[in-house]
Amino acid sequence: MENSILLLLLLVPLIISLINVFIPRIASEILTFLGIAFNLILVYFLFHIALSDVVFFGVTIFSIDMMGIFVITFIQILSFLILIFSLKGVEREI
Amino acid sequence: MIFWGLSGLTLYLFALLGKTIDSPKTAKKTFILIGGSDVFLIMGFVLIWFIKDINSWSIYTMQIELSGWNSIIAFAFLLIAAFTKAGGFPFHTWVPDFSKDAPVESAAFLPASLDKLLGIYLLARMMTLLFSVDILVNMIVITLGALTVITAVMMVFNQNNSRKLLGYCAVSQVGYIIMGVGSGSVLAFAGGLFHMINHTIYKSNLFLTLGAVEKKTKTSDLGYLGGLGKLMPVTFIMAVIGALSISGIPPFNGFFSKWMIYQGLIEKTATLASGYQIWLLICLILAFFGSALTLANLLRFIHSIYLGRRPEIYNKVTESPSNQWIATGLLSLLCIVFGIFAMEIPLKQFIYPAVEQTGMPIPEFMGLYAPKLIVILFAIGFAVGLIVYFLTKKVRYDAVYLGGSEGEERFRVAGTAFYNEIRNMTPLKSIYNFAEKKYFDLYELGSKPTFALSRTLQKAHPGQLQLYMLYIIIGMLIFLAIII
Repeated sequence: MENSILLLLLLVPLIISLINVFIPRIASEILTFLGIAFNLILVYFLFHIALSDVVFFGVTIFSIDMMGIFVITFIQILSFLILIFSLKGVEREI
Repeated sequence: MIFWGLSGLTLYLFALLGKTIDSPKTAKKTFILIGGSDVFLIMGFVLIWFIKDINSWSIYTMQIELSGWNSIIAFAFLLIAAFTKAGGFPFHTWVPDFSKDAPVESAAFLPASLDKLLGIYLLARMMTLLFSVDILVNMIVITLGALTVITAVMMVFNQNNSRKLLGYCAVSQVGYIIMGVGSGSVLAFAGGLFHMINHTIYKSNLFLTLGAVEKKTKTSDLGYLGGLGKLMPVTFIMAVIGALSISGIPPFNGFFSKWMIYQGLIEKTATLASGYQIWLLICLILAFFGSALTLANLLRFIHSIYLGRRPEIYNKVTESPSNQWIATGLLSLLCIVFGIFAMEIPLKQFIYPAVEQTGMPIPEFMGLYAPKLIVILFAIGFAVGLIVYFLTKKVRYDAVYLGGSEGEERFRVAGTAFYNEIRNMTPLKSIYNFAEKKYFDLYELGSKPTFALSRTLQKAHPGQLQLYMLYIIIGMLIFLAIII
């Protein structure tokens, strides 16, 4: 459970960005919004669960402490707010 | 390190999405500076690997003494990586350019927030867990922080592009964070971490409010803007909250964190020898001065965009969409809440647990600071001001007259006019002229000889396979000679 939160924080944006390549813009925006909101909820659990390192074949690949948690928290909050800002009223063409 | 590097790639791609003529050049500059700093990061960790003889890349408690050359070089390499990512002097020059040329949403997220968090996170780890640093190292880092503050804030005076202005302001705020985190004082360290999150909040707010204005007016040049406060009142209020926060006005969040940094540094001076005391006090004076100049620059920013006479082409500008002011409103709310309830929410929930985990005690404050009392006093002062205003209301709103007739728009005085006078003052003028020619830009200084060397080396590529084999053998021999 503890390890899966850390992995989900990483995998959810990666999977969503891959899916976004293949789906229409509206669906992509909804999916991105839901993904970031989901990650924001995951961040809440970071403060309430004792996290252990993510070990892969005996090697620690991810580990997190309080400083890391609060940095992740504010990255998630800001990405969520900037996503809200970008939903309407910005130029779309790339 | 993989994800650290990927964030640099993201910067490059976002800069390429910009629509200005300089966007490709800025993307290249950002990529070279950030990519170069990633190389320093890797080299730093490789050296640590040799020093500590460890079998993982963990950056947890090591407390490496800065005694041998390997450890000093490793520290310097990691410091370069952290400073470049965070936008510290003298590796900060990509931040204002990126802010000017990339899409405003990415400027609000990447250089103003994400990269600051990452760079300062690395610096905080270095100064507490990774290395065991002495007072001289602390003083060098504090000095670099003070130089970041003053050089960036002086450059703000020279900017008429609002995005670049905010970019330099972002750099100057990083200086305060570096001073706090690198000081070795617990209170200043906690203040530095607190200022880091405050900075991400108010800087994102300012970039987003500017983005809302830019989408409506299609310009970010302060000389062409003005008088938009009445047409975009919500955006105006959010921008004012952001400006007051970054300027360190109580009871907003920026004040509390700066106050913690100042207190920690003042406390630190009491424990130092007299030479270091004078050194630290000079740094403190530079930081105080920078704070006052930040307020002056942000007043110019607010005045140039929202106050003064409005150009007629913007008479039909409307307020930004609701989603935009919800985002900026929430950020403004955080600026207020993190200021008034600083002890209860950000410090208790986020900062103190992180400080404790580094092995430091929870800091104690000097003197008294009661945000709620300040809010009440401010409210009373504001109410008294309103009463006096309404009792003695003798204000007449009129058009500007010139030579007896109503002034035409071409006589409009832009919000930047007064500051252009400062820019042209004698000692400053030549410095700003040098700065405009990029004489102080490390990238420009380094890129010219590098590209010249690259052109020279190209001549050594005639396309003969035998010659390339010879290069490889010579290279291997040199490499072996160094290792053995």
